[in-house]
Amino acid sequence: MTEHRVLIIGGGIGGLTAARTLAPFGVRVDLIERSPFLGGHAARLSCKATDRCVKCGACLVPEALAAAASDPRITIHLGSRVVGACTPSQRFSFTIHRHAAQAASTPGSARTDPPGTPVAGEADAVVLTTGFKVFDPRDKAYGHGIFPNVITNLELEDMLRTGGAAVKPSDGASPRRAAFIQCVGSRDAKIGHLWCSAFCCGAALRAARKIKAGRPDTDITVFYIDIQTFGRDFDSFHRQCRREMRFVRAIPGDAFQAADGRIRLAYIEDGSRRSVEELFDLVVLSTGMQPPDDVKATASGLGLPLTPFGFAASAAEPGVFAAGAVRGPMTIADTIADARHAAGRVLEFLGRHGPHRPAPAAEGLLSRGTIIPRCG
Amino acid sequence: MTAQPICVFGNTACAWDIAARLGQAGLAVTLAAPGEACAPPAGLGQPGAPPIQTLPGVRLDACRGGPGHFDLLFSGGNTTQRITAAALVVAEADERRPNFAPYQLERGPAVLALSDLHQLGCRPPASGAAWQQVVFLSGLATESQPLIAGEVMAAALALQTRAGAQCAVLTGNLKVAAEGLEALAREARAAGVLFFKFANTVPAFHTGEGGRVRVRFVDDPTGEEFTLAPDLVVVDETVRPSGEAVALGRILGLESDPAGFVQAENVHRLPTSTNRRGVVVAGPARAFGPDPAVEASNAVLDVLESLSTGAAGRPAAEIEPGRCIRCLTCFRLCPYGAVALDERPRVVPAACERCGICAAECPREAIRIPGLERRDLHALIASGRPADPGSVPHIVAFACARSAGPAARAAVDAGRGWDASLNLVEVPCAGGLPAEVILSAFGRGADGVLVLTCHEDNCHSRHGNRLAQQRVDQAGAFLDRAGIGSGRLALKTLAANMPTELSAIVTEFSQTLTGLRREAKTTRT
Repeated sequence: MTEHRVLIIGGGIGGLTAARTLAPFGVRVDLIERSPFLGGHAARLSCKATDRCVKCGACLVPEALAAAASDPRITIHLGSRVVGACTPSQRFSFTIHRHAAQAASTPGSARTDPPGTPVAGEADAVVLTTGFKVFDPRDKAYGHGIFPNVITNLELEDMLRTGGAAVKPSDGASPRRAAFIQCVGSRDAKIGHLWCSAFCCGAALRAARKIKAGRPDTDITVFYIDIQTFGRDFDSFHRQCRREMRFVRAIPGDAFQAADGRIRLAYIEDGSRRSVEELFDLVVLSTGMQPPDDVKATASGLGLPLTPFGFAASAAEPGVFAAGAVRGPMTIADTIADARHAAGRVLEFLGRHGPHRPAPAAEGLLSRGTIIPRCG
Repeated sequence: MTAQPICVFGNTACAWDIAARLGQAGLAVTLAAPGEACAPPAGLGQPGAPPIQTLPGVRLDACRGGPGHFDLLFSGGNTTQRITAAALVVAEADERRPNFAPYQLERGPAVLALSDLHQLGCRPPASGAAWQQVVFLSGLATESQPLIAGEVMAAALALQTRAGAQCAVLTGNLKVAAEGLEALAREARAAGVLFFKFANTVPAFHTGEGGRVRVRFVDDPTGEEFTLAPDLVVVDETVRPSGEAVALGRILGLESDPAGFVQAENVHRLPTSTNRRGVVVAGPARAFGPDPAVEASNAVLDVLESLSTGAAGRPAAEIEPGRCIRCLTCFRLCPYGAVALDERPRVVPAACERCGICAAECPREAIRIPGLERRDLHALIASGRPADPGSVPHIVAFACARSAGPAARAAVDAGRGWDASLNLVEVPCAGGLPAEVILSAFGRGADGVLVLTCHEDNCHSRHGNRLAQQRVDQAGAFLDRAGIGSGRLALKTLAANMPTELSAIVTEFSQTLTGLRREAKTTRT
């Protein structure tokens, strides 16, 4: 069988999943990632298990990363981007430009060409998995970037991932009263974002419960339009949240910082229609997803049309596919399924869609007893 | 590579799509369904496509074997049939249950379920009067789903614009987390469909003469009271797997989720795999409203992957016939359905995941897993013993290979440290650790022992983490009796992306052990 090569643009959970799915079928993969790290936004998410797993899928990222990085059929180009058109003729010709110095911690098969060296390559199919851009909350009057105690959902993830708790950036203390504002940059006709970002309700409520589990005396208020269903046991999870937190069906219009550093939110109360003001120690903005800035250029280079909202279509030209959040807001679980779907279509396109002989499996799940020396 | 067919269960569009794609991949396919009418939907089965053998009018009665060779026993009519298959795909249907009861409504000319309205083509029956005012109920009794909310909004928009009706949607949380639904909601609103959302109150329904329903409610945002007397109330539906799907799942020994869908809510099963190797589940009976094309691709990939990895690789558990007393503990506890019952229990090697649960639980110690036997574990425990017992505690940490193992490697990569000498013994599942092995670490130089396992509901071996907790409790009780103290043994749960927590756990445990050492010294002097 001839050797087939596939170019995957974007090294988040979508690109990693597509790569590790294709490689065992004997396909050689070039995986291009713009940043110096693999894993994308999914790698930023914390585990929000409390007494049990909350099924967000963030823990699947290390496994996908290790699988892609250890497969000799996958070449990973970090800090790189595809320059110029990726021309679909007989094959796709492309040029990779490495713009960043090698990252501190690189997977085994990462290319180590010096920055600036163009690398030319060819591929029989291309998969676009460049994910999404996070809505910039500075476009809203919540004072993000000005008031230290107004943070985004991803900044909260960083806190939970690295410190295990939510703190006020102003003084590092635990917040007594915290608020989540949903739909920041989603479901917003004023900015033309006529979509729900699909992951933020789950992420916010799971994070809120994680905060409550660590500090049960934290008062949490969730400002929302509609709480979206997530997980398979949503009714009971949602009821549990309603018992533990306050839900206000309103989106505050703006935020001000009080003299003591607390954040004052004003919103219209249901029923009375009055404007109500409340003070919070920490405000978390659930910033939504939007198409990446360069999706138009990348997609048009590949002959891939965009949806009316500017996300990529799933396929167009023969041999060109898109998967994951570049097609529209998706959770980690949906992205994994979608990336495998794209990989399956690539294999059908290449005619490799049959039973295959895998590379010999690594011997033994049981590793040697690893001695990790004292390093503290 | 395999002459045996793949057996696809179900007469759904998804089942036919999967069967066709498997056929294109050069595999023989048998499609089995309980109904007599078992034919491909339009567009499939065109001339030239590989033939798909059908088994109509049959139900599965029993399944034995494992990946590469399942023995299936079907019954139908008065006959039974036996076939073998290399892999199985459950692609059965779902079913819709109208939510009449929670609203205390009954189906009638003025009260329809969403599916009834679809069957009428979203217009009044020719014999009936026109619908001037239509009320849709969505997600008021239980939380809805985007698929149903989308159908409600599309129907309301159609009646509003094409049939001249005034439509109102009474909803709890409007579910728009799927492609195009926020835009659809805006379009419906712009066309004049009214949306009333309820968080604090619920509407009251009164059925009057002729079955007409009066709906009274307080509008949350304004606090005003409304009474509607619609010509038609359309009730939303809850989606559940079909009875056929549930029965199949039971016969195949598959896990299910709280709503009965034939797949556990466990991230390790994503997207279409099950607790049994070589058994794939896809389509509407797997989960709520999945994308059929995505389901089909994933199912086909899972089948191809199971065919290529089947028995390859690591040796499976073995049951020693001379020691086995046929207590069937292994059969009951194997999370993967890898123990078959012949005259005595037998491990199906291709189905074994080497979790070790059977070996750890066997009361006769009749089961061995090459490479994971007690002596192997003892050797690993001893290999990490420091040559010179230093000032810091020596900790043996048993780590699940899917969670704590990768977390520990990530912690080391990130330069995180701990003030202890740590011997990390990685095992496929902590549920496979006998209490004796846990305790043996204390005789091999450990000041303390950690069992680091996966969170509840995140165990690849279903309940391996709970079994590990039971053994740690047993071992702790023994340590108390022996005067060593159960404080030197702890179980913690982690995920693969928790390196920070892992180093915190080790550091904290090390401090506990140092404290215990100091206490012991004080007591002695």
